[in-house]
Amino acid sequence: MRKVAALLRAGFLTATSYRMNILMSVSLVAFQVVPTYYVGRTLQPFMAPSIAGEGSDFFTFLIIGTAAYMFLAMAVDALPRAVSDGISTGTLEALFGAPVSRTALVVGLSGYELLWTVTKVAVLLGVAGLLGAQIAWGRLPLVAPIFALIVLSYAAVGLVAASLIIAFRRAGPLQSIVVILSGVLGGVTYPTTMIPEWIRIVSDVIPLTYGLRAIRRIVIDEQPLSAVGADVSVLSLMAAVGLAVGSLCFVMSLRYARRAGGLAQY
Amino acid sequence: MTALAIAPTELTPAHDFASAGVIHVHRLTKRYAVRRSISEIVRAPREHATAYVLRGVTFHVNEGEFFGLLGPNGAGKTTLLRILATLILPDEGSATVGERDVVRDASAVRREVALVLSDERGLYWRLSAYENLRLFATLHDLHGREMQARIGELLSLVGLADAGSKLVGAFSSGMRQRLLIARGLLRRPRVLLLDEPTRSLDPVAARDFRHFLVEDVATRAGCTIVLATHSAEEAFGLCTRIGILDRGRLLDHGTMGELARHLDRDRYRVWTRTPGHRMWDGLDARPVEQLASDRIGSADGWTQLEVTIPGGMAASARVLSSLAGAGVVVGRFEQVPYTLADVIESAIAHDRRQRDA
Repeated sequence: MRKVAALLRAGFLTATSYRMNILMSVSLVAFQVVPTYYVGRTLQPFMAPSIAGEGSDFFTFLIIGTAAYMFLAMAVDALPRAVSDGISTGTLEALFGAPVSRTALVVGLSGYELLWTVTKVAVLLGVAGLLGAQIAWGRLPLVAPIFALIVLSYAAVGLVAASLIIAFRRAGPLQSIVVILSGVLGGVTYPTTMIPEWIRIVSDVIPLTYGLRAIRRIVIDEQPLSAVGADVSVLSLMAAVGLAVGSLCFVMSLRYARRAGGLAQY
Repeated sequence: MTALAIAPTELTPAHDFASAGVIHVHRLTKRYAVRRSISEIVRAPREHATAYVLRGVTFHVNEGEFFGLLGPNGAGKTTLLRILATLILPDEGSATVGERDVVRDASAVRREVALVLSDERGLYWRLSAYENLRLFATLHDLHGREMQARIGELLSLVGLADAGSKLVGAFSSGMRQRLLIARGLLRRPRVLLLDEPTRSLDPVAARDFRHFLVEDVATRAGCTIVLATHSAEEAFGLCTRIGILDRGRLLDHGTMGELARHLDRDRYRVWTRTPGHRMWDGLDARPVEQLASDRIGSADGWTQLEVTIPGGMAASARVLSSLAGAGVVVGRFEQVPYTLADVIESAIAHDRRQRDA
């Protein structure tokens, strides 16, 4: 735990050394709520029937979708970026030369980004609340585990991408494909029920579809937890399988890099 | 002169080594796939070209020893150090550090070994020197007052006590190198692997660092040191034994005196005011191209000659006596010193002669 905290601290100190970036990043999150508000209000009459079952306020629907999307983008990108930076700066080899478990390294390297995303999502929800988002604030702790499951599901993709970077220096379009497909077909800006039947099969294998639907039902529509049992079960299964595959890829890529002598090559 | 350079396959097997050895390397081989062009792959998709980086390297290093690795660029020194630090897996052979295998017991080996590369990369440039050390101290299970004390001690040792709070990105190359060394020493490793550690240091800092290595790391802490170097001062002054690598093969290893046995040691340098004397004719005398620092003596009328006198010290004493008897003025008389390049070259040349034979 100490080692994870030390890596988190290093990530925090590195990020906060770029003060302007921190300031701009938070401002952008706060600012993006404003256009979302106007789009939500404008489309409210058209979207209200479609989002039934996941709330009735389209602005709140969009805000929750954006929050989940921020988590998924972070989960997909944090570890590959940390690994790529570590290879470029040579710190990755130094870290692997230290007596630290792979799990501690993975969590420590991507942990700061997770905490930073939690902060940005808090800002997003806070500003949205000021603009009248109809979120059941008291139920937010209930959906924290679902957000965690979304993060874990997509962290599996991050693990695979990081593995590709460790082994071959590049992950190709993997991260972009996952983030774009999830954004378009996972129900971020419209419910998946609006997606044409022929492409909904893709939507059905996207973890965000299940996570987002469950979160909205709880914090917008205030449905009981039992109403989201099936969605959470599918999401948990996806997270478990994904993490197993991702971890296997990560272990194999490290072995490959040690064999090919490529841990410090960029 | 006896030919003692040893082909890798003839080297003593690992089980013959004394158990006091802290590092045992036995027939270690590492090869990499050679990158082929697209057209080559299309022409012969099933072919795989490989290049040997290490080929059957065998040696051992005793506890507390200062072992040097010499060799031209690309000889395999850094790869060997990386294998010992568990960062690269060997293809064949074995290596153990403190009786722990670098492949099977990698995490245990990491607790015993610290690798300091000459590469300035590997530090967090957006963190201060103190924070860099603090991160790695925690990763190496140091914490609390012990960690604080150790970081303070090391920053002082490497001369960065006043720069501890500065961002590493603002450091000079030498400062970064010193910080890397401090990081390597954080947890008092049993074995310290150094790859050209003074490459970026100024001469005074390099001398101080060598003193620090001998006094504090090797003598006081009893640390075993393996040092890959191109520096004559380090090879001659620090290393108790040396291994010479060339194109992945360990050509020879032993003390510097043993390695210099293949060198021509019959050449002597003489300072004389009578360079035209007939006595020089029988000694294959040749004028020496003078260094800038020697030209002052030359202005006083002294000329440097290099002469050949076979037969060791007894023969050279007889020649010196004859020269004095013949009225030849000799101001200084010394054996031509050998350089690191001479030692490496002679080992390589000797090995080639042996292989040709």
